[in-house]
Amino acid sequence: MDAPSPPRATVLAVDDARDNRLLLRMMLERAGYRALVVDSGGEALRVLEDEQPAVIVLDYMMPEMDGAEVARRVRATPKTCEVPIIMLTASHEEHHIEEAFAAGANDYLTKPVDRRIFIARIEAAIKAVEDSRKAKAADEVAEEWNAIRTDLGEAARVQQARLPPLPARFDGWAIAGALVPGRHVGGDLLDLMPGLGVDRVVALIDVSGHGLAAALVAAAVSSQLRTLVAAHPLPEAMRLLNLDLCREGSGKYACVAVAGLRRDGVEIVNAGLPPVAVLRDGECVAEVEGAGVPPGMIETSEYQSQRCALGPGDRLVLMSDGLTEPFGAPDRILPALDGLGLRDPALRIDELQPSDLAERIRRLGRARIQDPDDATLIVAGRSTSDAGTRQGAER
Amino acid sequence: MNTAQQSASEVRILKIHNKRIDAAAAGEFRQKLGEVVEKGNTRFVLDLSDVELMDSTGLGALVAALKASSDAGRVVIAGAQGAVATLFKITRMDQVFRLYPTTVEAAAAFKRASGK
Repeated sequence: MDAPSPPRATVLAVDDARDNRLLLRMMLERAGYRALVVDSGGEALRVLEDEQPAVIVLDYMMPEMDGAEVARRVRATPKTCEVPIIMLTASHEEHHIEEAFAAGANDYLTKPVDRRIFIARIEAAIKAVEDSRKAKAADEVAEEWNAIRTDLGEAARVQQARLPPLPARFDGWAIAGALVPGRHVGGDLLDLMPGLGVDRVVALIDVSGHGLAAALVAAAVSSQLRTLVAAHPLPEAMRLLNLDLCREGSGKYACVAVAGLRRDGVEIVNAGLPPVAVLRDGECVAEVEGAGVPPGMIETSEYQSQRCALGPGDRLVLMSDGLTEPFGAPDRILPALDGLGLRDPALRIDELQPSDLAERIRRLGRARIQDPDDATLIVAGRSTSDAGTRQGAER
Repeated sequence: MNTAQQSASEVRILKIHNKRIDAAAAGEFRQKLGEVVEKGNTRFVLDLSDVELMDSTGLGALVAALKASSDAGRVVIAGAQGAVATLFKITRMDQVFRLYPTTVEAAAAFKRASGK
C-alpha cells in the first residue's frame, strides 16, 4: 500500500466575489493545496493571526480594504512579512500593478486566471521562498565555516609561535627542530626546558588523535612536563606526568620522549615514540626504544631512562611517528633519517632553520598518505668546537 | 565498523574486519568494545588479523576498553601483525595486553589459565 502523500502547503486566497472564491478554492484543492478562502481583507488579516500560509493570493479590487492595503499590512507584520503575495487584477486594471508591487506583492496575475498558470505561479512562489531559505542556511554554514577556518588558522599561528626559537644555541649545544601538523594544528609539540641536573631538556610530545583537542592536551602536557622536569629526575617526572594524565580523564594519552642534555652525554626516557637515535659520522650508533607506556594510559606505569654518550659532532634525533609513517613501520627510523638528510655528516645543526626542516618533512611523501599524522623532529648536538668524549652508547 | 562475534567455550571472540582503525573508526571501535565489556563477557579475544593500520586513537579506544573491564587479563589480542604489532611494541602495550598469533592460541591460553 502506498504511503499517504504529505499534505501540501496552505494557500490563503482573498476575493470579494463569490464565484471567484469558488474558482480559487477549486483550483487550489485540485492541485492538492490546503485552501483558506475568505471574502475580505479584514477577514484575511484575522486568519493570518492564527495561520501561516505558504502563499497569499489577493484580489486587488475589494471594497473597504483593497489588495494593496492588505499587502502593506501583511508586510508590516513580522510573522507574515516574508510570505509571498500574488496579486490578482482585472485586465483593465493593469495600471494597479505598479502599486501592487510597491505594496509588497511578489507577483501578479490578470483575470481571468488560467488554472495551470495560476498553480505554476503558486509553486514558483513557494520554491522561491524555499530557495531563499536554503541560500540563507548555506550562507550561515559558510559564515560558521569561515569563522572556524579563521580560528584554526589563528590556532596554527599561535602553535608555531609558541615553539621555542630554533635553532637554539646555548652552553655548547645546538638544537634544531620543526613541527608540521597533519591538519591546521597538531597534537605534536616540541619544547626545550630547564631540567634538574642537566643543561637542558628537549621534549617531543605526540598526543593521541589530531586537531584542536589534541593540541590543547599537548600544550597542557608540555606545561606539566616543564614543571616536573625542573624538580625531578626524568623517570620520576614521567611517572608523575603519567599519573596526572590518567587522573585528568580527557581520554587522551601522550607519547613522549624527553632527553636531558649534559656535558657527559644524554639521558633519555622514551614512552611511545619511535626510537630516539644517536648518529655519529652518519651512522646510527644507538636507538633508544620506549621504556614505558605513553603517559595517560595505565596509571601504574613506571619509566626508566637510558644514557648515551654524545660527543662533539654527534647528533641526537627525536621524531614522532608522523615521520616514520610514510615508510610503513613506526619503529624503523633509518628510512626517515635518510629521507630527511640527517645522516649527512656535513649538516650543521645550528644552521638548520625550521622552514628548511619542515620542507624536508614535507618531501618525505606524506602527501600520498590519507589523513597524514602530525610530524615533529628535534635534532640536537654538541657544537664541534666543544671537547667531549666519543664513547659508544652506554646500553 | 564491521565486526563478527563468536563464542567458543566461554571465550568471546570479537573479529574486526576493518582494515584501518583510525580517528574515523575509533568511536565505533570503542563502542563495540564497550558493548562486549558491558555484557560481562568474562574473557574475550580481540581478533585484529584483518587490521592493517591502527593509529593512536584506535589504540586509545582499546585502552579505554581495557580500563572499563575490571581485569586486564580478560582481554587478549590475536592476529596483530605488521604496523599494528609494531604500534603495540613501541608503545609497550605488548607488555599490557597479551598478544597471540591466532585466535585459537589466544583461546587456548585462556583455557590453560583457567585450568580447563
